[in-house]
Amino acid sequence: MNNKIRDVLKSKKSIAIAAVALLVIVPFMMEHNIILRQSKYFYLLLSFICIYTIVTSGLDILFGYTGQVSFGHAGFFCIGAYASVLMSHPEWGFGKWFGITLPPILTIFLAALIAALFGILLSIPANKLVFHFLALLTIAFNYLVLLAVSNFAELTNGYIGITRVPEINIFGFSFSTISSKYKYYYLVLFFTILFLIVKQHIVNSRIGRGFISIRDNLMAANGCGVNIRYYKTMSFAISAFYVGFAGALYAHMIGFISPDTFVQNTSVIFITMLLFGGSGNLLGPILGATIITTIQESLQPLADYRMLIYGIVILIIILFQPKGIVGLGKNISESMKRRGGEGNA
Amino acid sequence: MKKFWGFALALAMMVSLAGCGSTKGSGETGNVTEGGSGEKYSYVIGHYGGVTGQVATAGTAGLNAIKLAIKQWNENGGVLGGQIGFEFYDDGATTEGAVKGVSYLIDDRKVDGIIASQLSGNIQATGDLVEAAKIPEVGTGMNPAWLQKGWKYLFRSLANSEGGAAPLVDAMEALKVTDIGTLIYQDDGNISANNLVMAELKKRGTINIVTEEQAMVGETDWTGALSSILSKKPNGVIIFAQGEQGSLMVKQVRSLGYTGYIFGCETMSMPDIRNVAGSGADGVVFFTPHCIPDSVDEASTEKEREFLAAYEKEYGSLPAHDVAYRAYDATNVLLTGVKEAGTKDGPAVRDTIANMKIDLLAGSADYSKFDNGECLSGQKVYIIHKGKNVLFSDFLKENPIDTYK
Amino acid sequence: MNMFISVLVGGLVLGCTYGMLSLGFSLIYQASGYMNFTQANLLMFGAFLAWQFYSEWKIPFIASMALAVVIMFFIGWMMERSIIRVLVAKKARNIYVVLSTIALSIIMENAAMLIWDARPHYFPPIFKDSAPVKLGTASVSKESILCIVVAICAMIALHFFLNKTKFGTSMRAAAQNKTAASCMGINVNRTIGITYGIAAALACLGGILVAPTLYVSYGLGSQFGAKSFAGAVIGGYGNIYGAIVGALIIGLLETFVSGYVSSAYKEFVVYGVLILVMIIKPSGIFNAKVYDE
Repeated sequence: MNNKIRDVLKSKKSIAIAAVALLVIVPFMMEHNIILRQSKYFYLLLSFICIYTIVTSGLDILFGYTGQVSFGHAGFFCIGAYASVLMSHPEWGFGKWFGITLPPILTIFLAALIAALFGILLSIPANKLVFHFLALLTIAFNYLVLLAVSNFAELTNGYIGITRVPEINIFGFSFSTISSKYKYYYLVLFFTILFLIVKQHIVNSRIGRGFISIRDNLMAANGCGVNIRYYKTMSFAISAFYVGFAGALYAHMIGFISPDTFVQNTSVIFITMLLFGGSGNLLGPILGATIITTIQESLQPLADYRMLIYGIVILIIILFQPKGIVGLGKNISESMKRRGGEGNA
Repeated sequence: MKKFWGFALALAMMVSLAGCGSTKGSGETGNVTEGGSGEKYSYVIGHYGGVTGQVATAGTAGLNAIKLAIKQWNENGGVLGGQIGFEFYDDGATTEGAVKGVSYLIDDRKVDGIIASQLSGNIQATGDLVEAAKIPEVGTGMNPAWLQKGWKYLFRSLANSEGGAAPLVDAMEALKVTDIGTLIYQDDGNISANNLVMAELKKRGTINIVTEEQAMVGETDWTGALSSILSKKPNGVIIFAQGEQGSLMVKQVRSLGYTGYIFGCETMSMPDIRNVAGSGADGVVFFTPHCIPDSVDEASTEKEREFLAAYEKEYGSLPAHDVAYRAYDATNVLLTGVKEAGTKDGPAVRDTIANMKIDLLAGSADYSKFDNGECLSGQKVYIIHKGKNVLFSDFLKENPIDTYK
Repeated sequence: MNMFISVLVGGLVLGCTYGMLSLGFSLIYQASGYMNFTQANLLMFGAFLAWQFYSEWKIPFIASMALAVVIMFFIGWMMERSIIRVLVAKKARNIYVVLSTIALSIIMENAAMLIWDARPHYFPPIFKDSAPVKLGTASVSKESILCIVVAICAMIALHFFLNKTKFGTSMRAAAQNKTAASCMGINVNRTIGITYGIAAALACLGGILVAPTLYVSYGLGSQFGAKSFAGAVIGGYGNIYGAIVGALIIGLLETFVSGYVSSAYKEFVVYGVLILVMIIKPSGIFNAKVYDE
C-alpha cells in the first residue's frame, strides 16, 4: 500500500519534470528554428498559457481538492490586477495620492495577498453553503468586484481603463513584453513552476489531506475532528492568492486593464479550463489551460464561426471524456499497461 | 516510463498544434485572396476587430468594408506594382484578444499596416506593440483619448467625438431645451463622449442638468432609471449608448410617455435604431461623422453613393453600422499613404500619411493640420424625423421648434 | 404616483421574465438534480424562432407563439436525451453536466448569431394600435401588460399540471426517488426528458413575451441568465413557487432601486441584498437544503 502511494508520487514527479522540460526546450528549439519559426506571438501565447495555468491550479485547490465550486474567480483575478497596478502605477493609486510607487515585482505579491484577504472574506458566507448557493454567491462576488472597479472611477478610471502599466523589473533588468520576445515568458514560467511545486506541497501536506477529506466525505471529516471551517477558509485564501497573483502578472504583461476583462464570462472560461483538463491533480490544470488556449487560437481562421466550433469541440470532448483530458491520458496509459504486461512508471 | 512518454507526447502534440494554428494562418477566405507570408503580395494589411462577442454588428460591418476597399484597390492594379494581401484576427471585442491579435498580425503574419478595431480600449492596449514594430495603424474609433497618448504611428480616419459636443449643445439651445436628464451606457466611448458634452454644458451654463443616470453593461431594462429622469420633468433627454442598447432606451423612454427631444451620439445613426424603436425614434437628435441613408439613392455625396452601391452589390444590403464607413476610409488612408510613399517601409509610410491630404467619405481630410494623427474635426448633427435621418439645419428650416415636445 | 406605476409595471415585466427562467432552473433541479446554464439562451433562441415565424413568415402571433413553444419543447427534450443522459450514463460528475450546458449555451448563442446575423431585430408590435394604455396618468405599453398576464397564466397552468395530472405526479415521484418511481412503473427517463422540455418551453415563452418590449438579438439571453438564477436560488432552489417569488423580488428590487435610489448603485444593492440573504437565511425564502453539514 505504502509502496503504491510512493510510486504514484514518483510518477507525478516525473511527469512534472517532463512538462517543465518541454516548456523550456520547445521554445528554445523554436528560437533556433528547429521546429517552427520564432515569433513574439508564440511566446505571448505561452505566457497566457502559464498565467492561466496558475489560475486553474488555484481554482483546482478550491474545487478539485476541497470540492467547493466557484463561478466567480475572475473577481480575484480582477482584484490582483487592479491592486498591483494601483500600487505600482505612477499616475494612479499610490502614485497619484502619495507620489510614491512600489516596484511591480513587490506589488504582484502584495496584490496576491490582498486577493487572499478577499478570499477569506468571501469564505465567511461561503463556508456554510452547498453547490448551487455557492455558485450564486461566487457569481454575485464577481459582479460586485466588477461593479466596484467600474464605479469608483476616481480610483480606477472606470470603464476607460488604465494604460501604461509599468513593466516588471528586477534590479534594473526589465521584463518587457514590448521590446523582448521571450523575457516575460521565462519570468512567468518561473512563477508558474514555483506555484505548481508549492501546490503539490500543499495538497500532499496535512492541509491538503484536510481539503480532500472535506471533498470526499464531509460527515466523516467532521466526525474525525477536522476543523471544516478552518480548512475551507484556507482553501479559499490559497486559491484567491494564486488567482490574484496571476491577475497581477496578466496586468503587467498586457500593460492595460479595464473592467471588461474581468466579467463573469471570464470566470466561466476559468472553470471550463479546469474541468476540461481534469481537476484534483497536477497535470489537469496545465492541460486545460494549454488546450483551451490552443483551441481558441487554432480556430482563428474560422472568423465568425470560431466560437460556434469552440462550443461544439468542448461538448464533443466532454461527451467522450467526461473526466477531463487527464482521464483520457489515464485510459491510454492503462491500456498500454495492459498490453505491455507490467507498467514501470 | 510509458506513462511518462504518453504525457510527453500529448504535450508535444499540443504545443505543435499551437504552432500549426499560427502557421496555418489566414483562413480569411471570402472575397479577398489568401494572404501568405508576404511574398505573393506587395503589401499586406492586417485588421483586428470583433466579429463575435458583444459588438459583432460593428465588427462585421468594418471587416466587410475593409475587404471591399482592398478588393477595389486590387482590381485597379493593387499598390507598389503588386496585389494587396489581407489578414484578419477576431479579438471577440476583448482586450486580451486584441493583444494576441496585434502580436499575431505583426510577428506571425508580418503585416505591413494595420486597421484597428473601433474599441478605444483595445487600441490603447495594443498601441505600444504597434509603435515598437514601427507599423502604421489607422484606428476607427471616435474616442479622442487614444490619439492623446503620443503614439507616432497611429492615425484616425474620422473626426473624434470632441467635435460633436458643441454642435449638439447648439442644437439643444436652438430647440430651447432648459432642463436635461442623462442616461449614459457605461463603456469608454459613451462615457468620454458624455464627459465632453457635460463640459460644454457647464461652460455655457444655459442648460440645467437635472439628473445623471447610468446604464450598466449587460442590462436590457432601464424603466427605473428612465422613470427617475422623467419624474424630474426635463424637456430634453440625453441618451448615449451603443446602438443595441440605445434603440431600446429610446423605445422604453417613449413607452413611458416621453414625447420630447432625445439627444444622442453617433450610434443613433444606425438603421437599427429606427427599426427597433419604430416611430419612437422620431425626435432623436444626434451628432455623427457618417449617417447611413436608407437607400443608395439617398447618399449625400457621389463618393458615398459609389461606396454604398459597391457595398450593397458585394454583401446584399447596406452596412448595418457606420464603422463600415470608417474602416473603408481607414483602408484608403493607409493604401494611399503607401502609394504616395512608394514603399512599404513603416516610417516612410507614417511620414507620408502625417502630411497627407485626402478626400474621404468623412470629407476632406488633412493630416498635416494636426500633429497627433487626427485628420478631421467637427461633426454633423442630424435628427430623425418621419422615419428618416434629416440634417438638423434642414429640419429647423421646415419645422417649428415644438414639433416634438 | 405616475412614476410609481411605471416603475412597478417595469419591475413586474422584468420579474416575470426572470420568473419564466427561474421556473426552468427549479424544475430541472427538482427532477434531475442538475444545474442548467442554457436556460437564458433557450429564451433567446425561442424568441428568435417566434420572430422568424411572426415577422418574416407572417404567421399570426398566436400560431407563431405556439409553434415556437412546441419546437423549443422538443429541443429541450432532445438536449436531455442526446447530451445529459449520455453523460449521466457515463457516470460523469455533476459539474461536467454543468459544463456541457455551458458549451451548449456557447453553441446556441453563436448559432443564432450566424443564422440571424448580429444585428438586433425588431419584433413587430402584437397589437395594431401601439399607443400605450393610460393607467391613471401613467402610460404603460400593452405588450407589458400582455407579458405579465401570460406569465401569470403560465405559472398557474404549471401549478395545475404538476399537482392535478398523472404526469405531474409521476414527475414529482421521479424527483423524490428514482428507483422507487421506476419500480412503480414510471418511466423516469422520459419524465426527466419532458421536464427539460417544459423548462425550454417556459424559457421560450418568456423570450416571446419580452421580445416586443425589447428586441431580438443573439445577446438577449446573457442579460437574463445570472439574475434569474439568483431568483431561483433565493427562492429556495428546487422550489417552483420560491422561484417565482425570488424572480419577482429581484425584478422589482432592481427597478425600484434604479428608479428611487440610484441607477449607478442598483446592481450593488441587488447583489448586496443577495449576499445578505445568503448570510442571514441561506435556505432561501422557501427552505431548501443548503447547509453543507
